[in-house]
Amino acid sequence: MNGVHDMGGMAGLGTIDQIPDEPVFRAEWEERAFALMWATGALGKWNLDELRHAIERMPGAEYLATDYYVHWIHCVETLVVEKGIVTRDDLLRAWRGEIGAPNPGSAPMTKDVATHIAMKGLPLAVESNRAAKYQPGDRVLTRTIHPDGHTRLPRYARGKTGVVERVHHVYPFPDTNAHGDARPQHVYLIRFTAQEMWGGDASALDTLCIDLWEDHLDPAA
Amino acid sequence: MSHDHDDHHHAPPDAVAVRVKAIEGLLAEKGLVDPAAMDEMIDIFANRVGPQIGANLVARAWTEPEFKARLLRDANEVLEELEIPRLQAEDLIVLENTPTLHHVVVCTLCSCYPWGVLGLPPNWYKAPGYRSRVVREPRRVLKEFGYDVPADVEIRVWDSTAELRYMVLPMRPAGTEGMGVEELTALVTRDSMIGVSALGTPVTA
Repeated sequence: MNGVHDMGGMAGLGTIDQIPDEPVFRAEWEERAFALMWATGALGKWNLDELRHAIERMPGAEYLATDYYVHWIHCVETLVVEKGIVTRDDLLRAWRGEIGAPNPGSAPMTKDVATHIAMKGLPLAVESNRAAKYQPGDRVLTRTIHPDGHTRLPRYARGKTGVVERVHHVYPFPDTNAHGDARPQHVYLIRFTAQEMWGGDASALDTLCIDLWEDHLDPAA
Repeated sequence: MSHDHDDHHHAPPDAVAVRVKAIEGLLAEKGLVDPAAMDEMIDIFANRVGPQIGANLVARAWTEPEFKARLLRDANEVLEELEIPRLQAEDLIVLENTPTLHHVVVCTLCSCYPWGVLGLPPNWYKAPGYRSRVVREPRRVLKEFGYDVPADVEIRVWDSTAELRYMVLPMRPAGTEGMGVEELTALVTRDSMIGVSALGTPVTA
């Protein structure tokens, strides 16, 4: 979807505020929001692409006006209700402060699981003997698409010609995986010139590298 | 935020802390999340994982040619061997800066960042100003960070759109020839490994 999250190349979206010695978390609620994402992710009811898409579905004005971890809380609230883990009424009651005693005995993210997730990560590459459609050096044209749903092909990179720099592993295709269909395929590192992206005013020397899936690409003429 | 909604009685509380407490409390009540396990996750990323991990890799790469070659060829093998946390560094690629090529990393669509080697990202990395501009005008953005990239150096911007994560191996600054790994590690900044700055480059902005 062409949401405000897809902001590469836009202007007027604020300054870059470097804060010396900024703490990792600026408030306790940020810590809890961070950890809640992983604790609820461990319930196994959604994948990373659904999670990203839940953030993207935030109303654009709210997305831009809120702190980063507000996006995470919005995402958790959205997914736990949509997946039927809690009801909307449960959430409303919790917002009113009507919450019972904790009952953590059966939570899937135990301390050990938390450590395991942090140490081992959540690898998404898929073992596959699928043949890669493109090889390094191939010229490719990115598709012009404007899907209603999720995509990892940024708006500024659509309809552009680049060169395959490297063939990565096979991964689920986010554009469909966010909507229940994994369609695993190769990811490619594509290099573009800055002028291809931004026109003749851009540096003749600079380049951009973007990782894209096979279904984002066609052979360039 | 309730003023953004039509029905004030069904909107989340304005105080985000209340909202976070509510959802955590609700899920804990239902036995779906364990607050003590959440504490563990927070402790790992607040206190144990951070840019010192990446800085140490950089310092070793500067001093051990074989290590550097391995890091550039297959960073994942190195992370595995050194038992470096892999969450959001499951598939890491290290990008070497040279006298003619400077790398800088961004995620225009969300906030992808190599947590395992750099820790959680600074807020500016996740905010619209950086995400929107660095792909379009990297020279101006880097200048704001104090690095005036010479006109004959290519800037290569890496937009982290997939599950690959990128870390920059900055050039070793002049005058550090006699230093050991520990001393060098202390010189390597987080920003130099994101690629928004270089080490030992005079501030000209």
